[in-house]
Amino acid sequence: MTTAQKEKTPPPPAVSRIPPELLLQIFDHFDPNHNDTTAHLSATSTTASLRACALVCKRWNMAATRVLWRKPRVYDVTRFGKLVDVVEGHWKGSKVVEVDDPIPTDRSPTKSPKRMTVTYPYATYLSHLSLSPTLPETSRHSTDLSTHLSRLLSVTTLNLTSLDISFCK
Amino acid sequence: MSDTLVTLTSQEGKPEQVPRRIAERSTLLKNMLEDVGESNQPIPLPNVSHKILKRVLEYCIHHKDDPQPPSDDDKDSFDSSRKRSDDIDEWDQKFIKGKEEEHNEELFQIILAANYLDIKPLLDLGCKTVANMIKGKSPEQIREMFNIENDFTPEEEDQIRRENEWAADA
Repeated sequence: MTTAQKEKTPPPPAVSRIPPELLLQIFDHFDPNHNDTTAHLSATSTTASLRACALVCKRWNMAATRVLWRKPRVYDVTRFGKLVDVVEGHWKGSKVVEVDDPIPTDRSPTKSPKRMTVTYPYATYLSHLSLSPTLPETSRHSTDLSTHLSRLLSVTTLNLTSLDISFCK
Repeated sequence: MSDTLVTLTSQEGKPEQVPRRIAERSTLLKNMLEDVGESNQPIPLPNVSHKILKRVLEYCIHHKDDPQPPSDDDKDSFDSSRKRSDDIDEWDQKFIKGKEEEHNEELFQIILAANYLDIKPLLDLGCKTVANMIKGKSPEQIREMFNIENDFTPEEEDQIRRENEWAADA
């Protein structure tokens, strides 16, 4: 019996054999079309679910990050600020920073968002940004919003193909 | 002609006979049968276990009269319809649920088989079901539910968490 058991090692669980393109297809459900009014549009069923998937394991992380960042749904101005920090982090984290890294600073580099080296070139993943469907009316005239927007748009590696800020004057 | 029987051989080498029109719910088999023409040769399916093949055929039999899914040229309209996660047909819901104790392993096996056999509506059903199960859960709960190992170092995990802070629940 033992030899038979040795010969027949059980196949790896099916979940570990799901290829990236199928993970993308699963995660696409958390990125429904903006014009689909029946689609769940809260953070819980969209970005928060994708964030949870990105934290499951490395394989899931790669697929979920793509879906989460290509058309990020931004639910308030504070979140938008955090997103822009990360997008800038990539820019600051590239070669330019490596050059001045040896310069001793009394501040810990990890404490400063400007010195963060991010996991992915998030700026290049951003392809569509549409703030109108998710950003509440009340925050649309915030001065922080325009500050964050101009910070975002000055990131040189930004790969944005569409930007919808139609509510801005 | 569509009443002819086709023999499918599962991973275990076990033959399964099905009417050709049932087998043709699978785009892979449909194309193979068209290429081969009339033939009694069994079709080997080394990637599909007998148990999963039976389950997939159960789905194909139930949906034998459905219109064929649109071809790739029509993909856009199909894509927008499959984004909806809350409109699963009652029979489909029961079918995909399967037996409680082996549900998750079987669910992913069905997804893999539907992908291999190219049965778009079944693949879509499986993906929707997984998405619905994930919704609202924490990374720990998802790992536990699907038995996935956390292969991040604590530092990596922490960084990913922070980089995606903007996406978190309020």
